[in-house]
Amino acid sequence: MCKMNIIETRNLCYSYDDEKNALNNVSISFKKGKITSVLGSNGAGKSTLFLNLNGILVPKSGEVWYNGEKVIYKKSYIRQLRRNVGIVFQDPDDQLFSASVYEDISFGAMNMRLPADEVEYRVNKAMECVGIADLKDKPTHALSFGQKKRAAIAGVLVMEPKVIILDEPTAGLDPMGVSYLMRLLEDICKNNGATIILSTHDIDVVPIYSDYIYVIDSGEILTHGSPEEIFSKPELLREHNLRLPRISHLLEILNKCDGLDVDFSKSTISAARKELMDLLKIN
Amino acid sequence: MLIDRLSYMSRLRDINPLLKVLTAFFSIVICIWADSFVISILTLLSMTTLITCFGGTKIKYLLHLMTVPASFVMLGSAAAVLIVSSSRLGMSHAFSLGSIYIGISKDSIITAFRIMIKCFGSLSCMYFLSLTTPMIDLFGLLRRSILPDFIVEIMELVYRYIFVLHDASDRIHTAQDSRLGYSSLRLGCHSVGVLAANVFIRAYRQADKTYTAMESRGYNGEIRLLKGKYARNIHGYIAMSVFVMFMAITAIICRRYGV
Repeated sequence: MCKMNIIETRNLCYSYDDEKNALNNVSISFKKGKITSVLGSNGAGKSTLFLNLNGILVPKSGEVWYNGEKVIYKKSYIRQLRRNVGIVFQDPDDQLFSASVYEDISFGAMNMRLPADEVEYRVNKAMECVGIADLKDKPTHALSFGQKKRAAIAGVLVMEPKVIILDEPTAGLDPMGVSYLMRLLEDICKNNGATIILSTHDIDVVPIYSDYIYVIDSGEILTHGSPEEIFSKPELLREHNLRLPRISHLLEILNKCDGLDVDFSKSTISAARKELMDLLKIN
Repeated sequence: MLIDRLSYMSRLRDINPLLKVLTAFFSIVICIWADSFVISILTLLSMTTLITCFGGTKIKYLLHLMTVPASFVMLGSAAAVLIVSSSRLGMSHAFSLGSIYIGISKDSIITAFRIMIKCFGSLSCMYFLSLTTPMIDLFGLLRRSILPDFIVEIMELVYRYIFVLHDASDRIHTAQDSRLGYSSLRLGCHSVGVLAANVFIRAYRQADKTYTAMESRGYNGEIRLLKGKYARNIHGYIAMSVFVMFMAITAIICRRYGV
């Protein structure tokens, strides 16, 4: 086990019905303090993988390792694991069960049996961190979708987990909401030293924020690597119902159809801009 | 959910919920016990003042809300107007049905009117509570009461998911309506059935998902939440005591003189 990896799985298999494996021999590792994206089409097994990572689902075979220790499926150990590996679910209405935003956010911290003033401090801190401090006295049902999403993240932040897993955090958010959320995640990663794992369909934001990418389909890992490495293999992505970021796609067309000498693994605006400027200077 | 929305906007929202519950409770008890015109009208007026002048709720909303139970109150009081007796004694107007007389008298009209005013007085107390105290504050109070925790937990979850499922049924209804699902009575009945079934399935799935999400935040059979604190409001308690004493004494006097 590499010290750099906060959480990893080894030959993990999981099946919901004992017939078909939802996860098949998945060996995946997540580096400490980094943002890792898991890409995959609908039903690829992303959510199943996430639920295995904090002990909600028990693997059929294989192992989950957290911080250099093998996860033991005992009540006390699992409780400890869940405290350290928090999941923000896709639909905030699934997660926010209390009618009061403030009380809901306190739930995770209260379950850790912290003293009341510590819980209060953490709740206020988490609400400020995600920018919903002014919604303290609001009922949950009066919040907008984006606000609910942030409240759900705050509800996980109060446990101060080492790993935060977000299932489709950008789904259903408006463009401003997406940028705000992704910047928030970067801040959490930097300031709290937390490791962030997220799944998304929003391929265009992936290269901007990800340090590392895993691509999974039908419960198996297809490939992994840095954004450049992943987006240099467009055929593989397309074969599995994914695509290149728009920027890379443009560069790919310029490269293949127009014969321009550009590297289409560049997938952010700044990288593409540099690539094109260099090309213009040469000519 | 007009009442719900108004309760969160009320200026009296931040006052300790216990104080508001006690005010409503004593007022309603006195109003019913006194059974008097003066007390009923006093209760109605004071509660309306508390809701509108102090709470800042617009009077038009209160009037609108009062019309909801008004029809029941009217019907109930109308029944008290009629007296059924074997003799016509004391009835100002009556008709006979075989050997019995059905009619009205001056007394029965006064009684009916008294009941009606008393109902509105008591209603105003309930509206005072529901228009100034959001459910989430009441839950906090109930958790500290003798009620078992799991009952309050269920109440909280029901309250929260009413809104989620209400949204879901709204969306399904719109989707059905936009595909002509309610264009005839027959189709409408069918659509409502499908809608109900779908909402039921959704509720079931929702419960499953919510349980998973709660588990991942360390739920182990008991919902533990940090409850908000309220400042000790001595002035509020004094004001309430004075008000209740005044009402109680007036009630005793009114009962003695039967007004």
